[in-house]
Amino acid sequence: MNRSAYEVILDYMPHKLRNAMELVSTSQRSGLSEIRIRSGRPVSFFCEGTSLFIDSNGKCTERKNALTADYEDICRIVENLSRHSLHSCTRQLRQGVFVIEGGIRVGLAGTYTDSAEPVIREVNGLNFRIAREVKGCAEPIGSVLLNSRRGMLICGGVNSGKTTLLRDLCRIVGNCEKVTLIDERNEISALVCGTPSNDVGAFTDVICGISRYSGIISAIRTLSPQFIFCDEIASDEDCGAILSGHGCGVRFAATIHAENYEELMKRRVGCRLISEGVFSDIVFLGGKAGHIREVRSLT
Amino acid sequence: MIRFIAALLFAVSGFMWGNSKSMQFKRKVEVCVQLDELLRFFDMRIRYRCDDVYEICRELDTASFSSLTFISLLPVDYSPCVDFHEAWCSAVTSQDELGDEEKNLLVRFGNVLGTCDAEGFHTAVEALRAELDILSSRRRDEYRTKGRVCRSIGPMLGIVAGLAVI
Repeated sequence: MNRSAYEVILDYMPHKLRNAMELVSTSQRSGLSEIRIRSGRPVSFFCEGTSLFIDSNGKCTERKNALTADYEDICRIVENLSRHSLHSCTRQLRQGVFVIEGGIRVGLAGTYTDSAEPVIREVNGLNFRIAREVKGCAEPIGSVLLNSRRGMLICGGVNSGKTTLLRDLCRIVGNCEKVTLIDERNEISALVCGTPSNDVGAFTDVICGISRYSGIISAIRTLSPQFIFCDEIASDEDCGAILSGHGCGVRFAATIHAENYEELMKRRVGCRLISEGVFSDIVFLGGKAGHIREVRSLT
Repeated sequence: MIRFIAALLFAVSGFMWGNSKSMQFKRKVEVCVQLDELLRFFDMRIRYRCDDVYEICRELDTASFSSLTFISLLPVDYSPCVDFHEAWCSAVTSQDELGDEEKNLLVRFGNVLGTCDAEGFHTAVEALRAELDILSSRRRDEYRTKGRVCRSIGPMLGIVAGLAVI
């Protein structure tokens, strides 16, 4: 039986919070995008752009009467997220994120250890983000990428829907061609027990948990993809890996943080990849989240 | 004739009592040996395979830890309603044959399980194994001395009682 994202989240809650959250009405549950739990502060729900507090009876309330989480609650949730096995979650604790059933991402805020490979130790806040696939949002650009001889770069600002668009583009292309998705932080595919929670295409291999650079190199060497998809390219290392993949005839679809063409050309990585001819089309997002503002052809 | 048979029965039951008392001490030694194996079992799987506690408990079910019957009560699948540490603690305390010190050690081991990284866990296990080593040698000494006493006193009391009957 398919359970709702809210029910999945309830499974990870300690009794005190769960008892209150179970009483939240169905109407309040729908449209929920985030649940934030912070130590010593009220539990807050983010629903269609507004934040709400609930009381111990699951009703909307003011901040002073709100249900408050304590450090014990946070520790118990982290224990549940790690299935009482923190030792097997080093990667998640290093990246500060867990991905659970239904592609729900749980971001962690806390204190990192002072070691060569820092991991989060004292967690003081959790953010359950309910993933929403927007199937079909990349339909207008799917055929553009499939028919082009080079790759596609998706540009946009914060919360512009770059990742959502890339995920859907991956689904479209991954149902026709051999695709490797480099999903460094498990944001796009939301792998749970090795199976993607999101539809990323029937012919898509997912490489998860390593850097984009290592992932791209590994994909080129071992998976012979026709397309490689990666999110948020930023470093020179990423750029080098993409160039070597491009040299091997692989087409890339990637996202980068840039509001417009001028901003894109100011970014060293974007400028270099465009001048090397890696991409034939640039997609700019703007307006509301996921809205394609412009598709610029470079051919 | 009846008195002779009764005397014989007293002697035999004295021997059996002594032997069973001695076996109790032996079982405590076996428990310590298996506890050490159990700690190493967890340590290996956590350090080298990063298995989660439920996977390890599933494997434990099929391993041969005949003296540690609490293993069959451990949860083998994650459930949001069951706290693993509480389940571990109640499983350990429910095995009456375990001594208080063994139970205490196991409960402390359960409290560490899954709450730190592999290196931290290894350090904790090493400390617990050092304690277990001391406990183990005490149990061996008990078996050697008290077990021998029971084995000799039992038949002796039986024979004395038998002679008294005659």
